[in-house]
Amino acid sequence: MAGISALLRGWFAEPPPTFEYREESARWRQGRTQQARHRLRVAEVIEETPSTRSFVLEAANGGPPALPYRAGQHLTLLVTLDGATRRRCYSFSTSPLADGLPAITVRRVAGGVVSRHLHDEVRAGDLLTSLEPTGDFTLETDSTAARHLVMIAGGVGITPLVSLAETVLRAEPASRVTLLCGNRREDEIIFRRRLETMTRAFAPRLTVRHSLDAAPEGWAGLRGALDGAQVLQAIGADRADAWFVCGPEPMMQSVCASLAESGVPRERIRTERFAYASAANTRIPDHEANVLFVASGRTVRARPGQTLLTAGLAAGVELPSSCTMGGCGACKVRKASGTVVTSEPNCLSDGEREAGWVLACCSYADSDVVIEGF
Amino acid sequence: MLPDRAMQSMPSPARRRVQDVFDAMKLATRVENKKVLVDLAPSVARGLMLKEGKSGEPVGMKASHDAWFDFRYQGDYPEMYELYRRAVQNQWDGDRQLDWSTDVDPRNPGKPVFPIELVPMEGLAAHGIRLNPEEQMRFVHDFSSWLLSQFMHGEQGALFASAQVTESVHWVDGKFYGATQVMDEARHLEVFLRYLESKLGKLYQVNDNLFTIMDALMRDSRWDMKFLGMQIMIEGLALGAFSMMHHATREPLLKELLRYVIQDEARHVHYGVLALKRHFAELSPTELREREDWTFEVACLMRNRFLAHEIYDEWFGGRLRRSDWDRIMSESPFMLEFRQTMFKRLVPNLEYIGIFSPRIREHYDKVGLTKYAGGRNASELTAEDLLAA
Repeated sequence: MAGISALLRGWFAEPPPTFEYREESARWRQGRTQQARHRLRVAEVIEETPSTRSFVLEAANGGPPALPYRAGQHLTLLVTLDGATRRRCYSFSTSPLADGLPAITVRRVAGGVVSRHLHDEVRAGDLLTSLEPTGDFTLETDSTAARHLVMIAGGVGITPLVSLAETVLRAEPASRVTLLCGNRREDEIIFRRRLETMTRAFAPRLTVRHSLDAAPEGWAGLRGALDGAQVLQAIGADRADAWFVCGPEPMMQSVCASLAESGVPRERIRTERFAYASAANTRIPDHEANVLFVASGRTVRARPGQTLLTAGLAAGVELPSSCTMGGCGACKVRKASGTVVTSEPNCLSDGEREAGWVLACCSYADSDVVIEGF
Repeated sequence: MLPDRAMQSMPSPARRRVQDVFDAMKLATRVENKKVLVDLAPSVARGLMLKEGKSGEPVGMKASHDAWFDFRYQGDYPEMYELYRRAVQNQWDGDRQLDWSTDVDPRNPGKPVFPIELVPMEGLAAHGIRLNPEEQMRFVHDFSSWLLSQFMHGEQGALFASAQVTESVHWVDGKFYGATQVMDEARHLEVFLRYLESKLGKLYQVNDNLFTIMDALMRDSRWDMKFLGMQIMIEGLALGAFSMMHHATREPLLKELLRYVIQDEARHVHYGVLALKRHFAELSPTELREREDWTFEVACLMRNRFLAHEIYDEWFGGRLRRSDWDRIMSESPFMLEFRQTMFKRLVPNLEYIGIFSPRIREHYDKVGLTKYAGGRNASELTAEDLLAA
């Protein structure tokens, strides 16, 4: 009877589609060496400045992507070029609390294979592959908080900061943000119009000040490189509850040193480095060493040139990772004993280093090493 | 078939059903061997008429074979044991050995999953349908998803059939080998599903013809029919198809995935050939004739499977008659080559195991499937041959 009724039903009713759209199943994320991947379609490419573009992202089949991110986090893109897959981290420039699709912002780097590819080749409608959003350069919002946050951005370092600023201003009605942005020239100011709109929308809780290395005549903003002295002078006596700093390494070092000298406690300073591990700057041990992962009890013989991450993964130790370039901190592990050599610069804070954290992706065992966990 | 005017005046669901019923009747009236007709009819009804594979619900297929125990454990088939050892040594891990971080954009004309020639442009144009470049890439994306979905469904069938075959095969060495094939099929199902989900983002329902074949061989109580259906027909044709797809794709992850799968499939077909060569030598002429006829009908179902009616329904249901679509697909250069490569692998195997008599050859001749007889069979082919083909 069921068969007959199915047969009759089929004569009159439109059949359901013969296909279904599928997202990547969570089961594939359980593999030891694999992490969750997203397929994202570029909904729009926005030219922010001549050298900076934002890529607005949607699900591969349209609509908002299932991409839960926090303000200040970044997305690791996996880009296959000439047969090799490269990983690069790009911060979200949008606020997760705002309407609309998420976007990442990318500066075109002269020698940057991936950034050049994104700028020159990727158009609206193209597909990108990414890992899950990651990064610790975030903050917990509290709707009852009434705090003053100072954010210091050098160049494209504005990207995570504009996301953080908008999120705080939306989530905390009594908090305020001061944003100092340093750029070389006026045409390099990223998100200028958006910042003006935000300033009006959140008035008087958002203050934005721009500093230019090469300011044109009549420039009303700050002049000169945005270093520690410039920052302290700009902020003056206005006390801040927390400082967020992101930009080129010299700027960050100068700002952090000045803040420390002026008595700002280290725990109030948050930094995000756009770092790329460079083995060329690091003396890589030319000998083998044992690496013991305490939780699994596995001892791995790391070969010369093998990072803790690659040695561990090759032996089946389930180590997390994302950018694999020292830039995101996803592979952070705590060292219980032993000596490692780590490529610099990287994204670890001084506090993390003192507490024994190392980045597995760009650290090499210089003696037998014991790693907590895993 | 009803006159076109009568067909066109029907609502589209009814028109589709009439076409399905006519397809089933065409199959039934062509079958000369009444025993084969009786064997296949219930599966044809479930697959082509009731469309159980497209119900959107899990489908039960009642098995009726014997699990064959042998507590003597004799070394009864050295070639199968050798095949088993080779299979054990060549197990691979799809999670680790394939680079799932590869960027795949199925709509990128620079690195297509399958070539643009997949679009039967001339055939469609003859009916006034012209796809612009964007539509062509979308069609290639959909057709690639459809094609790989069908092979994925076939792998699910192979997983269960190989488990049944492991139970029912009579040689202990065959059971050793069969267990490795079960693992192989699970891995194939895993990698095709993963590729479809994470790279193409679209899954198609099982084709009615494929469902019919799987239903028939899962329910058949005779172990050799399961071998014949799965190891020789489905696996044999898949092997040819995978070889062609391996050569056609410019997408590196799929190419590598297929390379691994082909190496396994070459063993699977060899296993079926070894088993049936020995078994068929002991069958009566009547039993052999029945198997010849059954195999021919399954070959026709397999051929029809690649008419891609699911794609027709999605893309051209209201714009083109299905008979026109069938003709376009039959004459499309890409699909012609696809079918030729597939059947090139099948006919030599049928000859080798002894079910390709002059009588049945005429039937194959009529449907144009004999031009590749005389090639090498699975016992003479290696995975390298298939990858280089």
